[in-house]
Amino acid sequence: MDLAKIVEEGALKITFPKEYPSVAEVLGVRGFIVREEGNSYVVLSPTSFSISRTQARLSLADFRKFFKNAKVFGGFKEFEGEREAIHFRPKRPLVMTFKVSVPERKLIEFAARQYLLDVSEYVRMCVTDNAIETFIRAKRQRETGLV
Amino acid sequence: MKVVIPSKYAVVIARLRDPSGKFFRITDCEDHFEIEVTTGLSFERAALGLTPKEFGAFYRDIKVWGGAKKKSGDHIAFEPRRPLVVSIRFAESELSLVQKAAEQMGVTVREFIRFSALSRALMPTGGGGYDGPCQDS
Repeated sequence: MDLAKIVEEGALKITFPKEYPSVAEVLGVRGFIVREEGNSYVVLSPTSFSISRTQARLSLADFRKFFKNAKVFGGFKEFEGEREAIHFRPKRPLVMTFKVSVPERKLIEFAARQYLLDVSEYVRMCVTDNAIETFIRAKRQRETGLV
Repeated sequence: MKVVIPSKYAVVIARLRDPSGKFFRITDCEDHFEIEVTTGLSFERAALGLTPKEFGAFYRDIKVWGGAKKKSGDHIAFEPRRPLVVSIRFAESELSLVQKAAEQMGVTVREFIRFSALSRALMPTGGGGYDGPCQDS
């Protein structure tokens, strides 16, 4: 199963004009699906992500203009850290539950505090990271002929 | 969860190693050993150096408090009682990613979520300073 195909199903979609090639470039390098459609770039991501002004290599004014011009489908955009970064996050209408023991709950809470996240954010981060790593590992194994 | 093993299995206990003490801690209580476990635990027969017959007897002699034991072939798994429920919100794309990854690993989505959260928390860089099952933080 290709990661790109899974990402495309119900992904967070961001479009912005072609006058920001540096943003498209940095997101492409970070592994997002970036496409050109007419006069816009289209970026697909399975989960939330942030881009800072320095990563985007834009001036303060251009970065604010980029924020206004970026359209988000299936999610939201917001400034972070005194408008030095933009956070894109998808709508999250689905709820999943799992059971834990008392020590497991304490352990998860402890780890979440180390990352300055709440339990929900921490678990989501672990799960999506692990899922992406699973696909990358499987792809590498297929490419090396181990599977 | 506490796993209680009679002291006649001292040789087997010596083969269990967790230098970090994050996954389990072993206490010698003279007539038995108590293994305090943070999360699930499993034993493989070959790793313990037991014959199939000895492994069967070993399984019968083990007592578990706050959880359950299960044997399948050369494998004994211990699962703690899990009375607490954690709810997580997901986007459609996130959940579909998780479902496919769980499928690839051959586990259920819930098992995949629990495994991901706990394994990161137990990693040296993930839980940063977590001191194991006996500490109340």
